[in-house]
This record gives sequence, C-alpha cells and structure tokens, in this order.
Amino acid sequence: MTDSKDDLKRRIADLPVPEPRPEARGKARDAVMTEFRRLGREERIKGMARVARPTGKTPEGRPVMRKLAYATAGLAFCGIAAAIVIPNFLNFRLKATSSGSRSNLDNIRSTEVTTSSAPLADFEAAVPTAPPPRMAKKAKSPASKQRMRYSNEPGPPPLPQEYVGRDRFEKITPNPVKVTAEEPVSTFSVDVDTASYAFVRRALNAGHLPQKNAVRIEEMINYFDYDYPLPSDRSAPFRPTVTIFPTPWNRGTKLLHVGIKGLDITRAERPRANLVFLLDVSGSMNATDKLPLLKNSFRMLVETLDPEDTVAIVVYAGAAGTILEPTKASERGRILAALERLRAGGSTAGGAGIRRAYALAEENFDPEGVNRVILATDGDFNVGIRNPEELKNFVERKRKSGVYLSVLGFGQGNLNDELMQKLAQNGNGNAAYIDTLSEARKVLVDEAGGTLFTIAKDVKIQVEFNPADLA
Amino acid sequence: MFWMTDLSDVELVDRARSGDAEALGHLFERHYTMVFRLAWRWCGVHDDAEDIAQETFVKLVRKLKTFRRRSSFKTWLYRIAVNTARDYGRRHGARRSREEEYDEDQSGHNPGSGPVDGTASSRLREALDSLPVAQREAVLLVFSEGMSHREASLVLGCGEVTVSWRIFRARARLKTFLERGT
Repeated sequence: MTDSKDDLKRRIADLPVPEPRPEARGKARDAVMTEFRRLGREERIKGMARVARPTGKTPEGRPVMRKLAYATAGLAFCGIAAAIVIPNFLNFRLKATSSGSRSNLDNIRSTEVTTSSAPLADFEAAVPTAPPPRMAKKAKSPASKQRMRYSNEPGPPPLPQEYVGRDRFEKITPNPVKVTAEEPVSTFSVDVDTASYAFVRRALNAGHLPQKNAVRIEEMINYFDYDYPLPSDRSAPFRPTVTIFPTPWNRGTKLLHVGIKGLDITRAERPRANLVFLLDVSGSMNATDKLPLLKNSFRMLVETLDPEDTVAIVVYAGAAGTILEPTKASERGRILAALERLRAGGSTAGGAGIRRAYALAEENFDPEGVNRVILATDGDFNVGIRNPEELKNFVERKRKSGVYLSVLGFGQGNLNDELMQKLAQNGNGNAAYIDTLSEARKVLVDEAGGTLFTIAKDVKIQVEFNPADLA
Repeated sequence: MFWMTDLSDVELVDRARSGDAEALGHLFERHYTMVFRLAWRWCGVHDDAEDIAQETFVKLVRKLKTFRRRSSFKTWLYRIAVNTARDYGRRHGARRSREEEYDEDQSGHNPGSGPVDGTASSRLREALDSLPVAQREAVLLVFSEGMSHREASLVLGCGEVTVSWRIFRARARLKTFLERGT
C-alpha cells in the first residue's frame, strides 16, 4: 500500500509544517521595507539633482560656537502654548482652526482642537514638502492596518509613503493653555537635543512624511544657530535674550522668545575628556548610513580631541567586548586603527555593553574632567537587559557617579527614539540623530560644547508672567 | 470602496514598482507564509527557514523591476525562493538534525499542528533528505506544493520532461529508502 503512487504523494504533501513566528515575520517585513526604501532613495538620487539642504552651510565657513542651550526657542514655543493668551484670542483661534488647513496637519501631527495646539498648527502646516493627504480621513480602508492613504481613482502612481517600520517615538501631547492669573510661574527644563530635526529632514529629503511623533517642534528650533550674544564674563555663565513679537499667523497673540546663551568654553579651558564609545556593531548596522557613517563620525571626533583626552571603545553585538582600553588621544593612530577594524555582525546586546562601557569610564574617572559614554546605535537593545526600565535605572544610577551618557542614533527602520531619549535624559546627556557626515560634524565637533562638554547640568528656567499684563 | 486586498499579485507588483510601499506590504503578507513553508520543507530548520523567507522577499524587492507581466507572479516568486533556499543550503553546509528541530517545533513554536505519527513522518522526511538536490526540488514543488510538471519546470528553469524524469527517479529512491528502513 505504501508504495502506491498517490499515497506517497499524499503522505509527502501531508507532512506537517510549522508556522513562522510572528517576530520573524515582522523582522522579514522590516527588512523588505528597508530595502524597498533604500532602492527608492537610490533611484531618486539617480534621477534628480542634489536636494538643497536646509543646513547647507560649509562647516569651515561657520564659527565654532559652543552653546549651552538651544532650548531657548523651544522655550519660546512652550511659552506661547503655556502662557501668553491675549483676551479674545480664544474666539479667534477656534475660527482659525476650523478654517485652517487642518487636513494637512493630520499627516504631520495629530491635532486635537485644543487651545494650545492651534498656534503650532500653521507652523507645522508650513513644513515645505509635505504632500497633501490623498483622501478624506473617513475614506480610509478599515482593512488597512497601515497609516497610509491611497486613492481609488487610477490617476498618478501613489506617492512613496513612509513605512513606519519599527522606528519608535514617544507620543507627543501638546501642553495645555495655562492661565497666568492662576499660575504665573512656568518652569521649563532646558533641552539641547536636535535628533528630531535630522530625522525629519531625512524623511522629507527621501520624499516621504516622517511619523508624527518624530516631529518635536522644540528640536526644530534648537537645531539652528541664533548667534545670541555671549555672556560677558565668567561670573554670569548664562545670558538670556528675550524678544517679544507678534505671532505671524495670528495677530491676536504675541510670541515670547527666550534665548539662552551659555559660556563659551574655549579650547584651552576645556576640561579633560574621558570618553568611552559604546558602539553597536550588530548585523543591522551593516548599511552605508550606519556603521561606515558611524566610523567616519567618530574618526572626526577623535581628530578634534586634545592629547590628554582619553578614549576607550566597547562594542556590542552577540557579545560585548572592549576593543580599545582607555587610550590617550595623543595615540591617535591606535584609536583610529581600532575604529577601522569594526565589522558588523551578530545580534544586539546593548545591556551588557553598557555595563562594560560605564565600568571603563569609572576606572578612568577624572573628577575634574568630562566623563561620558557615547552610545551609537541604530535602535534596539534586543538582548542583554531586556527591560528598558531597568536599563534606564542603571543609567540614572550611573549618572550620580558622574558618568554621563550621550546617545547617537543612526539609520532608519529600527530606530528606538523613545528609548534613546529616555536613556539620554536619565543619563544627563543628550540624543542626536546622525544621518550624514555633516550632521556628525555639527553634533560632535561644532557643537561639542553644547553636547559633550557641558558647562551646566539639569538646567531649569522659570519665567514669571505678570497676570496684570497677560491673561 | 477600494481595497488593496482585491488587487491581483501582478497589479500589486505594478504599484510597488512605482513606489507604493503599501502594495509591497500586501504582497509580503499574502505570500510570506507560503514562502516560509516552502523554505521549511526544504531545510527543516525553523531559523533557517525564516532566514530564507526573509532573503527571498528582499531579493524580490531588488528584482521588482525585472518582473515580466506575462509570467505568473507565483512562478516568479517560487523561482526566487527555490534559488534562495538552494544558495542558503550551499552556504550553510550541513543541516541540523531534522528530528531535533521538529520536536522543538512541536513543543515550542507550534503546539497546535495536530497529532503526528512521529516515526513515520520523520522517516519519510529522512527519505526526502536523502534525495539529490534536483530531485528534492522537483518533489517539493510537485508533491508538496501541488504543481503540475509544467509549472515546476517553469520555476526550475528546466524542461518539463526533466521534471518528470526527476520525479520518476525520486519516487523509485523514496520507495527503496522506505522499504529498506521498515
């Protein structure tokens, strides 16, 4: 019986086959979409002239500014959202919202019709290359789990849309409007991050919309250099620049812009730096905009260090490893050679690597200097300390020992911005997103004063509004 | 109302070619399981099958431009999958023990796949493994995937007669293997 023709065929056909695991499916899907976007980008680059970059300044042509806080203008925005509401503004605003380009906004950031989001609204709508939504919201297919829209008419081929992948961003909730009579004092935490700007620029240059939660307005403002006047001497390390001007999109309100310029640490005065590079070399870093860019970025940083500064390198992938013990920057050759040897491969074990990096930084701790771990990754910490909470607590504990953390994000598709931000905040550091070499230069060289060599920490600003003048 | 799920594979390919990520997503969702199963049948190792399936789709993205509308999408996808699996096997050399891996599958990933006569099916699998690569491919497509010899010949890029011959040889071999064993 067993050798009958059809029986054999049936038995083979009936052999049980397991189902793929959902994680593997998700991973495969991400890989496919990443490749799709990469090819799309390549094609666009082939097919068109270089996209004009909003920050196309040559690094040489611009003075090296050491800034403490770009948060300044961010504050200004919080300021309007939080406090400055001129009488009769409310009516006007509601009108503006209903007649305004609300549909545009849906693509960029969800806007509830709340008092605070209205002033932000037009600003967002002005994001230059945002294509209009292709269809009214209610026509969205319920079957589609994606955030994309598509249209029924045959028309032109659909616009390339951002596949969100596993880039994760924390949800943004706009601050509510405050009434100054009840709360005249507003407190803001100063924040020097700029990651959001670079991420958004990258998406727009590639011809698709960024995720709405990737758009953090204060970072759009922090990104740029405002050339504020410097503090006059060391006794006043900060110098505020306050301006009030009419809101361009709403004549009923005024904008308050508080810029704060920190002391410019000149090169000679710069404290000694004890840096530990913690580099993700997992398999996913194997893309031109990841590991090779990372290597070039750090090479650039190493070139600018003083001879007394030290650098150590820890990598993490399948297993964490120290590939360079703390080495003086005067031995530049050794550091660069170690960077050169980096190869991508294996899965990510961020947790184990982070412990080793901190241990090295503590070993070589300089109470007078800057002690900092610089983590460079494309996102996930999928092995090692599994619990992000635990990782955050670890970083926070270590911050008390004087070792701070900066996080640099690379690449797209897997970026865990939320965790990056949290780690940087808990580690008393900052987070930046590196999409190009000039961005790396901006973050690691030109602005090292604001990001790596800090003159202050945990800065908070309080603004007191006079309820008599301001509602 | 427009549903992307109503589009044929070829229409989805067209859309994906003009930059529509969602169309590509649909193609992926529609065929991933099928490709995974093919890969698993080929190598019998869960991790490897997942790798092969992923690689197959990445290759598909790269080859989107070369797809000819007159050929069948399925045939095309199968061809990519079979080639990927073959290359993978070549690269990764010896396969891990099928039984071991399968037991793991039964207890772990896939508890609900129904009762299986462990000995008989693992014996059959062993027999399939013992086939030369070309015969195994033919058996996989014709027996497991239920293709005609003609369809299989298109996937494998050989003549229909060659497929029939391979199937014939494979049958004889399997029969001998199974009889000798029991």
